[in-house]
Amino acid sequence: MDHDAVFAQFVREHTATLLRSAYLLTGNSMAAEDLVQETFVRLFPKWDRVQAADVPMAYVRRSMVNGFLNQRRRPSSREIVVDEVPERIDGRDIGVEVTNRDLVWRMLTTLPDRQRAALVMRFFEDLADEQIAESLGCRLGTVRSLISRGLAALREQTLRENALNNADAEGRQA
Amino acid sequence: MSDDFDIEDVLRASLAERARKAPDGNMLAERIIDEADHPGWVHEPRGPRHWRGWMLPAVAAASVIAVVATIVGLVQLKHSDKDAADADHPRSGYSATSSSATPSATNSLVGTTVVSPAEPSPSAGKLGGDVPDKFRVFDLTFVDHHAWALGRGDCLDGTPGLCDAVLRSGDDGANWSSTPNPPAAVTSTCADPAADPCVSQLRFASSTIGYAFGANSLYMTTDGGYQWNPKNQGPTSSLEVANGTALRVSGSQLLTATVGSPDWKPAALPTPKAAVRAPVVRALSHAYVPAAGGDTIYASSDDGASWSTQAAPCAGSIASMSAGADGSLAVLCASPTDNSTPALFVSQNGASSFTPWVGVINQPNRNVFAAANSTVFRSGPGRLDRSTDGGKTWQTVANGNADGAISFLGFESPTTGRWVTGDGSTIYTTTDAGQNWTPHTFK
Repeated sequence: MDHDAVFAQFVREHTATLLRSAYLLTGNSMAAEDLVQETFVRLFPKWDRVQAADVPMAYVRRSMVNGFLNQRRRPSSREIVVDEVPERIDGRDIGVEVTNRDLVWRMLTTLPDRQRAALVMRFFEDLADEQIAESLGCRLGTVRSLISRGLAALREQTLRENALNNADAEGRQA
Repeated sequence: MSDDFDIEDVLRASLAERARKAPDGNMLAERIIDEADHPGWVHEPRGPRHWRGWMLPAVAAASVIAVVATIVGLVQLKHSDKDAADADHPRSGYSATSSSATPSATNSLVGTTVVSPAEPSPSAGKLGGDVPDKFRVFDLTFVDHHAWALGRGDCLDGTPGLCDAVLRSGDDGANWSSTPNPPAAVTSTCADPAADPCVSQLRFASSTIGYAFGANSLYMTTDGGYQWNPKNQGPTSSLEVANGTALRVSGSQLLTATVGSPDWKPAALPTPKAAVRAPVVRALSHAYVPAAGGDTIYASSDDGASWSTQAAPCAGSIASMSAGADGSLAVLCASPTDNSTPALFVSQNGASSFTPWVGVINQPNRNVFAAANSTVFRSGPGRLDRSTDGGKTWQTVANGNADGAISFLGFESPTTGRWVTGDGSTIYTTTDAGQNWTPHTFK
């Protein structure tokens, strides 16, 4: 199989998976599509190197996560684009479970990029610490710290938001 | 949420749920493969531009260079047939005479209809363009998490006046970018079969296959709107797609085709070639179209494969019809107009029988839309109301000249729906059957 055919086969097999992760990293569809496409643009000229990797998908994922982190370091990319307006949830009309998930998702978008990336790789992609460390280009201890601090921040913010919602609800009842 | 919740479980569930909202990767994969075939492949990211103070001198300098280059380029290219063709089919938001349009690099058409390389490109645009200022929506179509909006806005190349535009969203309408236009003028009303081809409505059956149409036109895309086939498939006053089939009213005929196919055939109505009129409405596997006389409704429960004849509930003619996302049918009668006779009827059994809704009388310029058999919206000049109790009570969703009038209302499911303000500036979305609405306003 020639270079182009191998590339095409890989793209067809893995784009959907990469796109889901990219969507969770970036928070919106267009940015996710751009991130995946930019990753393939960057890797296409050196696809032989990707093929030669032990796990080509891990190589591509690492490149994509690096692309995400580098992009976000640029001053012009600080704006966080999310699908939904970050207004407080009115829990009266929406199921508790949906509310909780939505709340956690919105809190996730406020975390530092590396924490967010580590949480997505752990809790969506189910990657081991070693694989996350390889993708982020950091040590194992750093990964554990990123995940621990990320979860703590999520928990704290979610509880704070929940308390505000409860206070609003009590105010309405009064 | 209690204090002892398991944040890891909630996060895992949240990520899994959100990931399901990610766009379909198939189309992106094909685009990547297709574009990788082009030498010097460089991806131009989409998204909002971030202007910075230091950029202005650079832009000014670049503009001078661009003007010189354009003059040189125009001299060199003035005999180019291809560029002339491109100028005839401007990208979204650009005037027809713009010289700034660039040819599309996309050639990855799939499906049964392919633009021949010998034919002029139906558009000189490309995906990811800016959203024109003051964009105003004429029609809207949502499928899965993708959406397309047909309308007009300020010309992106600075030409005075308004330019046609088609916007696309890949995230349920949260973010938009422009895509190439269909090969006909975009108008808010395109009802004259004798006029030049124009389009006023859009329907997409999937993230790739879509239709743009008007009373004298029907154009199709099979790649999500990257390119539109320039072949006009004829007059179309109403068209709906569902479950792999397309139904359209063309003149007084109801036609059917497999989604994505240009081969339209007369629908198998009980009376061969029976005359019908718009609209054809669909939900689930149900389809309904009124007979031309208005006293009969043709109903199908198998996506238009077979049809039955049902009596219309109206003493006079039908003013409007809509299908609820649960397959129910709401019919608003044009007469009588006295204050005591119900004018709105809802059927839950394929138009076999109708239940009158109390307290709804016919008034000029009224319309009704069913989200489901239990939830119906009533629009009129300057207001939109919602009832869930058979019309006994109505809650005002919006009123006032700015927001109250509506130009579009549709439901993709019994709970998820959109309406567009009368001026086309704002799309409201509900995910709870119309109790709460979130606006997206085009600036």
